[in-house]
Amino acid sequence: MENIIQTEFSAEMQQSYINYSMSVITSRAVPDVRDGLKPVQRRVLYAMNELHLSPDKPHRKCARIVGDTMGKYHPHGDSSIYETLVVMSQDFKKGIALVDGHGNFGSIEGDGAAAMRYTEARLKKITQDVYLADLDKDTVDFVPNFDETEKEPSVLPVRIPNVLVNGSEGIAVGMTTAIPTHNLSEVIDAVKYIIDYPDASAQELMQFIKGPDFPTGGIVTNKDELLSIYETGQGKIKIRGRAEIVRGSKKSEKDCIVITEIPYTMIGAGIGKFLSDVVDLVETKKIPDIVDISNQSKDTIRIVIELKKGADAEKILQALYKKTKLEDTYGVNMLVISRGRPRVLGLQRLLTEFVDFQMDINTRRYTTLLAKEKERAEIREGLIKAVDIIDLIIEIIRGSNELKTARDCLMTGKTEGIRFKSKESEKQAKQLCFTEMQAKAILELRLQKLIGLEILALQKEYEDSLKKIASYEKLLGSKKAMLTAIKKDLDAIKKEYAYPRRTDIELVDAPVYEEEPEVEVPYVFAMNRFGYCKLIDPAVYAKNEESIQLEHRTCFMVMSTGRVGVFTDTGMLHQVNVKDIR
Amino acid sequence: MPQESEYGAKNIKVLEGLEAVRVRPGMYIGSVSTSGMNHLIYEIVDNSVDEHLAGHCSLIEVVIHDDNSVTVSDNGRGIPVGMHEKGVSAERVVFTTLHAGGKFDNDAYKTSGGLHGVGSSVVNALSEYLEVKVSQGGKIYMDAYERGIPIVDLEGGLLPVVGKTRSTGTSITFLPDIEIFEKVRYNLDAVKSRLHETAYLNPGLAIHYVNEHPDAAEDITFHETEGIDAYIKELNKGKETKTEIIHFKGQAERIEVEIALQFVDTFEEKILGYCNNIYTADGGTHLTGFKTRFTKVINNYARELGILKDKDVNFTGSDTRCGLTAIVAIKHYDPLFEGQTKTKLGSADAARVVDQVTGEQLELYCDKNLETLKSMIDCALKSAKIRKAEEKARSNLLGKPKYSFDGNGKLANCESRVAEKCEIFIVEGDSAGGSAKKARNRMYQAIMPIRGKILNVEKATIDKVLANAEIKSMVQAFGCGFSEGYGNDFDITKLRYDKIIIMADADVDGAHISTLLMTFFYRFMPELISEGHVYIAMPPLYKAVPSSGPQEYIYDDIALEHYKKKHRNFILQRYKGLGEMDAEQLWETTMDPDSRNLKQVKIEDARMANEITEILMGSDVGPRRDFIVNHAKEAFLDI
Repeated sequence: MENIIQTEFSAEMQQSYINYSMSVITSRAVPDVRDGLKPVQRRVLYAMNELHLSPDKPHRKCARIVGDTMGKYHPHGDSSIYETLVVMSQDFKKGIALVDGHGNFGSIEGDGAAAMRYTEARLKKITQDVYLADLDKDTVDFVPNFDETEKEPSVLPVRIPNVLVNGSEGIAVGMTTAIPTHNLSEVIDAVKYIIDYPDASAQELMQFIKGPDFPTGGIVTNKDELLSIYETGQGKIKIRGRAEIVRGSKKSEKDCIVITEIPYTMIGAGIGKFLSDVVDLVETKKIPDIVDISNQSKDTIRIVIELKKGADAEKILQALYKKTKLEDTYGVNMLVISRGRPRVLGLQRLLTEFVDFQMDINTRRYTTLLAKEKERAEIREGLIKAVDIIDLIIEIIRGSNELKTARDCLMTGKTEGIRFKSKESEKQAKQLCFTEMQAKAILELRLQKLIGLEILALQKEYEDSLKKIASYEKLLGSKKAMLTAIKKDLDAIKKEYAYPRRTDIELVDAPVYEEEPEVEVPYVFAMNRFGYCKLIDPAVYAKNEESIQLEHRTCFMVMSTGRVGVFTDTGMLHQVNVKDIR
Repeated sequence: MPQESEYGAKNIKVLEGLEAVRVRPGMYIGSVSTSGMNHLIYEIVDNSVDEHLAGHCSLIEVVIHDDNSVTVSDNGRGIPVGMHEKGVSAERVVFTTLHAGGKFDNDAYKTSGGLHGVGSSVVNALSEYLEVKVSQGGKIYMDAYERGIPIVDLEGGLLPVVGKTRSTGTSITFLPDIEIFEKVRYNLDAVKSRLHETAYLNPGLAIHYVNEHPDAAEDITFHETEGIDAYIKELNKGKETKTEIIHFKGQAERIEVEIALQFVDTFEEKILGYCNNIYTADGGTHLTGFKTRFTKVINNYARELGILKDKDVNFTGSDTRCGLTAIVAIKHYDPLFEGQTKTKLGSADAARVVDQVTGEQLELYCDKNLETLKSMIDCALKSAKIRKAEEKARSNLLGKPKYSFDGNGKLANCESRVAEKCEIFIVEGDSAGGSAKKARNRMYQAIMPIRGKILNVEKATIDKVLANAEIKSMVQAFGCGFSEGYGNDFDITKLRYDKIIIMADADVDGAHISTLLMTFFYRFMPELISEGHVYIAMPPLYKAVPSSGPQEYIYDDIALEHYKKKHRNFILQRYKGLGEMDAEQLWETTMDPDSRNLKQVKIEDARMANEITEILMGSDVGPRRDFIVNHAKEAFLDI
């Protein structure tokens, strides 16, 4: 039978829309505060991990990675998956590239990557060590994939605050996220500080995190506004490219402005736009002293602007800052998914949530390790005991008809059905009480273990296990010890992967650029009955004096450098620069 | 008749006149229903208003008494009580003679609303009793009638004096005759609205309205010192205004013209015309004069300002009036009304004068107020642009090619043309469209695939909407036009399908597409929803294939939980898209009328529907974000 359900328009709209928008927000466009990854990024990395694409293995075709990701975890379009993979490999886009690409993975100038059937990729070492390690140690929850045939991690056990280090950008519904990239060692230092002083303010944390650190370098010019951005999670960062003025060495040579770093926002098509903007400025005579501009970038940026002889290079540079995207704004909105909800977080909250996450994954990690080590200690203890009475055990094994009989005897001392050589042996056998695991290990024991040195090694291994158990128990028993371990861990990461800061943080005055003084020329000022006014060339005026006067209520001569006073109906006098009348 | 003997031959003519009114009341007051009852009040009030127009009255009081009698009093000069040439008091002549009164002599009343001088005597004829009190020259005179017949004896042909007073004025109390009217009941809302309107048109006049009915007691004073400007404000309440209120008046050929106008952000024009305080529902010459000149003025300025270039055609009249609210009130010394109900002004000189005054005054205003002028031209410009786009879209849309195979290549139509039986599936994605075409019942199921996400009509301008290929093909396929903007040609009877079924993927993007489609239907074809033609198909979310037993389709997550509790060892297939299903499966689960599930979309709460659409689909981000944050917990998330 047909089943028709009545629904109210507004209810249907509401439910559909909230499903759509929340899904886009929480599982598409906004990163998780813990691992700083959007689901598609997490899935690509996990799929690569499952494909064992470690840095010591050969690269694999990207199509293979995209296919695995799509088929196993991410049932959406292939182009968005490949794009994610590409961006994760671009070291000019990400603070730390997570994917090691082979082939054309696009350029800073906005060239796209080659098709995924051409390119190859594998994981970077840091990705494997810091992002994907310990997945096997029950550090994070695994959830079923879309068709419940696979399991995937709900979050990756990333050991650095990736959300800050690699930043994130995304447009959801009704909200967007834009988190700039930061310097790894600075962020680690800040985490260590907040571990020690959980109430640390944004200002204190800024002792370490001076500001964003864009992979493109450049200069952040509004240092004074950073504090409020880190306090609230929102604000505007001003960034400008790095340019130097190269003086002509000989008298005959011209000065140049050489741009070696572009603002982060110029990545991609922005460079081409910048070049054409400069050409426009020259053509419209706004900055007339530029002779040529050429883009000599390779893997590093080099844009050379050639100036006229005797031009004021410093002034032209200021004009470029002001009139082109060589200085740009990056709107920060640190929107993340925290505890299942979208929130805008300041620096302090971001780091606190990260520390909580580290506590969580480390607790789970050490709990797993402890359990495993306890198992190992138990077996070793059994084996050591077994070596002592190896003759008896051999007797039991030889006297048993079935595996089960021998095992039961080892575990419970049950001697029925076993032929012993002597009553003494049987009596001894009755006292045996190995655990099940020990019994199993004993029965699988290889004879070579009975060599003297091996026995000593076994002894030592057992002691190691006991030591490890003690240390794990200590960690799990004390929050302080755990935090110390996390700090140590962070130090190790910092030592191996730290890189110097690339973006300078400065407080620079807004660029000043004064227009060239106009040459003084006469004009006829004409205003019509609507109050519209314009300047007319005196020659033209002379020719059409009559008709112009007919059209315009007021006509008089002015100089281009002068000012016109205008009275309003309320008796106010306003002054207008003649050059502003066009 | 008894009166004849009482009053003798000299009154015969008078009685004949009033008797005629009682025989055919409809001729004089329109009808004998409540509107006729209202008319009685208006006739008396209009006389007082005429006193105001003549400059002698500032306050009118209208009291509805408990017994349904009405008292209308003013502080005018008072009806003349002196000796008329007919040998009785002038007052009595006024109340007993048709076509008697001061209105014919243009010196006494320059202009008046009373049309043909029938007012007072008609009311008198149709009233069970009527009492007149005139305060004049320090004395109060009284007269009374029953069904038009005087019951007060004259003293030497003059009215008896019943008191002294310092003020002047007239007070008339009457009770409509139950023999004439079907029911003695007024439409008091209409009365109030009419009085308020009168107050707007006469800024110097205060009208005090009192209802003494105990269960509906009211006491309101209508006094609008800002006049028709306030009326414009009232009419445009709650709308986004584009200009300030423009007000001007002028006079020529003894005709006074007063006009107020303002532009608002709508596509409608609303122009109210009044002549001598009478609303001319059917317009007439005064509005023609205004419209003609207004169009000319706007066009001239647009050219002068260079907004219309040489090669551009002029704005049409309706372009210039798009979003216009205007009141054109004239005072005419000898108005001529046309039409059955006398609600159309026919005086030719009114057109000429309004035209002239509008021309002079509007230009004077525009020269001084450039910004307002530009806003007005902007409105016209926008309207012209939309009109052109619409005309183009419409001619594309409606000018069907001669050999039309269902208008567009996208639609796979059904064989049957019986609208009540036919269904159309709007399918997300071309790939799903393929299997839907294979799966359908060709007789009465049509398939229309749309690619990706359709335009959000809430954010787009109408010309963009009409230019959109997807929307065009839908409008074409439904065959019932669309309603918005200029030519509303929506006609639900022409709808070619009884069920319009949205069939989107069972994921969140599918949900988004459903909201986009519903927004389109709601805004452009709301009747589709209110008449219950819009449905949402419900494809299954999962298919469970147990190791033994029959496979089962599961339509939501709750059902899946139930299934999981009952079964073990089964393979679960999640349907992300319609394209994942075979044609046969699609038919079985989603399209077969014998087994499918459908959601029928209804509108019970129209206000809510409008509000939600605005919040979710509109261009304002703030409310949407708030909505999402507030309802975040209700979401079913998609992985």
